[in-house]
Amino acid sequence: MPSATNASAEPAKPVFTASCHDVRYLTALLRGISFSNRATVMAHEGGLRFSVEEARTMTGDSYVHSWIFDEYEYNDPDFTQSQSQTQSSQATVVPFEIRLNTLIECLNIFGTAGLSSGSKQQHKKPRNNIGDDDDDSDRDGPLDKFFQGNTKGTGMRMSYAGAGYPLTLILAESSSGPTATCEITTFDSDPEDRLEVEIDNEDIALKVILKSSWLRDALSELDPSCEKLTFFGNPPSQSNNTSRSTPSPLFRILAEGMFGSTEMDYPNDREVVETFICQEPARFSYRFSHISKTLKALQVSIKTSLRIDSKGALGMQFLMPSGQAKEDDGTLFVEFRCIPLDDRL
Amino acid sequence: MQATLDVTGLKPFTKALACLSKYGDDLTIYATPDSLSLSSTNSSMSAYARYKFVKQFFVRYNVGDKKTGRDRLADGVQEVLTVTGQLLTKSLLSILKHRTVEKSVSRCELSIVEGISSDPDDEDNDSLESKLIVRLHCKHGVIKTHRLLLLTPTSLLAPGSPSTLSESRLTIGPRSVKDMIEQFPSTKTAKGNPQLVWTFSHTDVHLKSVDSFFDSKAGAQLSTELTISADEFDVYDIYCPPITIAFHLREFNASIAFADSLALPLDLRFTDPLSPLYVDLGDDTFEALFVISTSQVHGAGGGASQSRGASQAANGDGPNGNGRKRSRDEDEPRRLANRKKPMKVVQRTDVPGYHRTSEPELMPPPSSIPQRRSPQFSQPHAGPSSARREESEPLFFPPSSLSAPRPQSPLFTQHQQDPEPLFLPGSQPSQAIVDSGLGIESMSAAEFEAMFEGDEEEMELLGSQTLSQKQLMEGGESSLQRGKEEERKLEESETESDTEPEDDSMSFELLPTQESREGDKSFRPLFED
Repeated sequence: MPSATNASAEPAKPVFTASCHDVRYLTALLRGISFSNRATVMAHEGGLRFSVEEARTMTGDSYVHSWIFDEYEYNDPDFTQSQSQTQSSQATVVPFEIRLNTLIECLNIFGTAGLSSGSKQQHKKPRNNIGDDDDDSDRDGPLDKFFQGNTKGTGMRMSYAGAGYPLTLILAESSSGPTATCEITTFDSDPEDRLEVEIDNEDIALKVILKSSWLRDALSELDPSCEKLTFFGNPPSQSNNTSRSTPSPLFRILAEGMFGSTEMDYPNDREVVETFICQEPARFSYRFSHISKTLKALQVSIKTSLRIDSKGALGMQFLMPSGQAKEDDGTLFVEFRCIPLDDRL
Repeated sequence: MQATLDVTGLKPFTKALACLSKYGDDLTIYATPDSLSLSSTNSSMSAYARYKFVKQFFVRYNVGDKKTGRDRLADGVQEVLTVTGQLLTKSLLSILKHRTVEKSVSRCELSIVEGISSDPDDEDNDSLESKLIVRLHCKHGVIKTHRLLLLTPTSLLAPGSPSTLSESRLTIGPRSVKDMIEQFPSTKTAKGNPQLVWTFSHTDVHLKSVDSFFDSKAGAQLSTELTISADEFDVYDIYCPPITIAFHLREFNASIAFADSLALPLDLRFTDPLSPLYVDLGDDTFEALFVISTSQVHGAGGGASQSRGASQAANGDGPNGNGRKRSRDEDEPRRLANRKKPMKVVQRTDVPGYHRTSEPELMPPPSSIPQRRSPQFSQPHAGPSSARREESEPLFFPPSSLSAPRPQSPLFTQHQQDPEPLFLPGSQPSQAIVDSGLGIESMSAAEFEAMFEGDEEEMELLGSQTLSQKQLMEGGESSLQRGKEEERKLEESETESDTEPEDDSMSFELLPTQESREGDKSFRPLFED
């Protein structure tokens, strides 16, 4: 294929090239949305975006910012197009589809893209200020973060020459070791076919930010046979409760299935719910099989921001470990959006 | 019923559930004011496990509320308040054994809410279904409430206690048994259900693996034998050594694992090779009983008698007359089919017992327990009330056999005579697997009778109505009363509609019918929160 690139009349410069010395963070982002194999990749100046969808109801997006890579170069394939797009650098160009699982397997070809090896260090920094009491935090000594570079990881160079070309990966564990070159077939993407779940940020009915461990435990404790998951939000004010003897919980997750039901109530405690915005009682239901798709990302994520707009469209953003010492530079996140079930049915 | 567990109680409780889940899929809950019993029986009914947690095991424990109190008065009988329910062990276990529970849960409340509640104030009582509510209080005030639907138990089986006369007793630590069993390679493979033959002689215990038809696939035919000194046992009291018993290990291993996790010694009791093995363990706050059927080790023949028995059984079903009879007969095949399905041989073996030996003095009621569910669904007009009545009596038995005797209850004494038979049918399946019940012919007549007497009584009641009624009459005053009661109830249920509540006793008796029927429809409430 490289020969084809040279021979063709196309510009010699690929659409994008990216390289990094450690693919774990990238892999974590991709694994989070790997519930569907068909991922649409959109490249732009700021990085890459991988999108998947499920049952025309739910979308998962991984935002791979350019700073996650040691080098990232984006060349607009079409200058005429680029002129119209200069005003918005985020505009996506030339989306293509790729088999996501294949890509993840390739990244893990040396077996060192795993989350378990990397996640502990990754978790480390955010946890320092949050004061998380999760079990892995106490295993890491105070100096561990300085030795992060010593862990063996897979280095990668990725390039995509343009439509019709494969995604080329060159992977190596060390400069002296073997090198793997992978060419992953890409497919044309049909922009018409893409599902976009719109969330009206002006009209948010419920917004919760909490540590991912709470949500992760909640979802993983639920019986897999659950059918329906409902989020309840009640305004935090303690005074004007309803006539109930027990105050209605601030935030409740209710799961229902053939076995019965499960409720998880979360109090208004900063340890549990960091941010909670809810003007009036709200409840929206979703299919559990969809929400549970987020578990993979949830498991490695640090914080969860959950938004539901007044129509029930659910957006969940998971803050992912970035491996960067500086947090101000930006954060990595995976976003899921889901359409609610119609409660009248 | 409300029971509260703290962190220290939660662990053994969860371990107990894990053990029960190895015995069977269904967990039967039986709560009295003094204790909470959880029991499980495997599908072939060849193994039974029961945990009994006394009140002190819990931080808080009480049974009953206004409603049950009223029913109790209405019943006019000295009946102990009980709460029963059945659910999948797995669903409860998966809640409690989740890894986050151990870390974060500080308190666990279990409560059973009976269906048909009239108390609108209580949020938990807004449904018509019986529910087991598990409320986990976690760190930071997070509360997790699991509501599990409870079924009405299809059966409350009670094992008998072995006759103490010829009983052999052993006590051994879990570690030692484990070490012994681990010597056998066949026990390592997770699949299958290996069987060991234990020979207890004066000074030694001899263990031998059994090659069965089903195991042979697992690899080369490997026979392992192990002889250990009787000194390994803390108590070694064999009634008449040498004695040889054989039993399957799947359930036994679960018990050992439980004992090992809590470092409790096991008390093994058995009488002869045909009677089940009893394993007791426990401490001050709970006790566990495991009953595992043994299988025939040697001998041949038996096939003929089995098939003969089957044909007899078929004939025996013939002379059944009235309506009450009919409902039972219809239930019986279903129950049998259900129970025997895994091994058809068992079905045959089971039947002859009824007809061979008919001992009128045995109390039939317990045998009718298992039929409960089907009448309710198929024949609400006649089935439920009578079945219910019979059932509510046996409910009393399981705990009573373990607990300190509750005097002046006729039910109890009857149960004493009776308990073992219920269990016997189960012991035959495994035997059948191993050697197709070949040992039967080598038994003496008395042994054979003893082996089947339970089944016989059970079948009898179900199979021939006139006979069973007669037996009921002869069975002593209590059984007489009960028989009449049953008849009366039957008449009532046949003539009256289910919903007539005027008569107190009536309404109580009919209550189950209503519960079950409404429970059927009550899915709706779940979704209207």
